[in-house]
Amino acid sequence: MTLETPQIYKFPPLYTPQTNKLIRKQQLQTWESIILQTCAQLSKWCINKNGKIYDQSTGELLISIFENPEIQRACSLEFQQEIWAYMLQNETALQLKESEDSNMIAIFWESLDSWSSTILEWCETSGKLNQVITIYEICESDENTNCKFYGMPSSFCLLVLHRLVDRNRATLLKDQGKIVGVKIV
Amino acid sequence: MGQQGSRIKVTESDKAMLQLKMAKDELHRYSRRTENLIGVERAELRTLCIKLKGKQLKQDNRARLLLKRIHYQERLLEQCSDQIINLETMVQSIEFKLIEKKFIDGLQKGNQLLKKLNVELNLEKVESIMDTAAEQIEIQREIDDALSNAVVGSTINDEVDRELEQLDREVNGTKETAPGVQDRLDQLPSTKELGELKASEPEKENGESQKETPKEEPLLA
Repeated sequence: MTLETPQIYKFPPLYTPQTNKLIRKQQLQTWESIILQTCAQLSKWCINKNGKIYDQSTGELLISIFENPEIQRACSLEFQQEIWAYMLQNETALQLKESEDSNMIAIFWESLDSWSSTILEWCETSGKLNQVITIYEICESDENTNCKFYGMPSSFCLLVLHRLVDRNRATLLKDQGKIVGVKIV
Repeated sequence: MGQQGSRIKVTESDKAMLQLKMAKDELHRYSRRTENLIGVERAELRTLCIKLKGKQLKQDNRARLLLKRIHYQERLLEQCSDQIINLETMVQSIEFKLIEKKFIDGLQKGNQLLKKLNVELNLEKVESIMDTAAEQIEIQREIDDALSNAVVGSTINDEVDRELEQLDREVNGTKETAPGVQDRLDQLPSTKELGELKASEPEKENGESQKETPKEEPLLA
C-alpha cells in the first residue's frame, strides 16, 4: 500500500497530544484532514476504532493510520479516542451501529448529502429510476466499477439511502427483516 | 412495507423483482468467491510445482487434488455464469414487459377518452349545430342587405351617377369636342353630297380646296 501522506505525518510531535489548547485544536484538525484524505485516496469508507483501515473487498483490516512505523511513533488510545470524538462532533465520521463490527467508524470524505446525490444521479443516468435495486447491486455490480461509490460497504450505503428516504425519493425494501433493496423514484 | 411516511408504493411485482435480483446477487457473490478460490489454488499449485519436479509432482497427491478441485470449480463457475445470464435476461424481459404494460395502459386510456369525446360529438347534434349556423349566416346576410339599402337610398345613388357623369364630361369631353364647337360644326355645310376625292383629278382638287379653306378657317381660328 503506497500512501501519499502530507509532510506533517512524519512529524513526531503529531502523535503526542499537545498541552497547549490552541495547538491541540490544530493537531486535531490535522488528524481529521489526514484521515479524510487517506480514505478518499484509497476509496475506503470505514476505519476500525484503532485506526485500521477496513478493506471492503477482502474484509480485512489494513495497517493502522495512527501508527507510523517509519518514524516509530503511534497515538495513544486516549488520543485516538479524542480524535474520534472530534470527528464525530464535526460529522465527518459516524459510528456504525448496524455493522457486524460495532468498532467500525464510517468516514465521510464526502458528505452524506453529496453521496446521496451521486447515487440519485447514477440512477437517473442509468435508467434505474422506479425500479427495484438491491444494495449489493449498487455497491458491487460489475457495471458500476467506474462509479465513485463502487465497493462501498452496505452499511455505509444504507446511511446514504436513508438520506434519500428522508427526501422522499426512495423506499427501502426488506427481506426477512433485513434491508436488502431500494426503490428510487 | 418500507419506511413509514414515504409515499412510494411497493407492489407485489416489486417484491418478486427483489427476490430475483437477490438471487442474481447471490450468484454474483458466489462466482466472485469461486474465482478467488481458483486463484488461490492455482498459486498453491504453482508453488508445489516449483518445489517438486517431474515425476515427483505427478505422484504427489496434493497436486492432483488441487488440479481436480480447480477443474471442478471452473465447471461450477461456468454454470454459475450461465445462470447469471439467464437471470439477467429474465430481469430485462420483465422490465421490458412492464414498459409494454404501461404502453397498453396508455393506449387504453386514450381510447376511452376518444370514445367519450365521440359520444359528446354525435352526428345529430353536429348537424343541428351546422344548420343553425347556416341559418344565422343567412339572417346576417339579409340584415346586411337591408342595412345598406336603407341608409344609402336611391336618391343618393342618382346623385352619385349624375356627379360622375358631369365629372366624366368635364375631364374627357373637352379633349374631343368642347361645348359650343360642336354646334358651330353642325351649322357648316355638309360634305356628304360631294363625290369622293380622286387622286387622278388634280384640277377638281384645286377648286375644291378653295372652297374648303373658308370652311375650315373658323375651326382653325
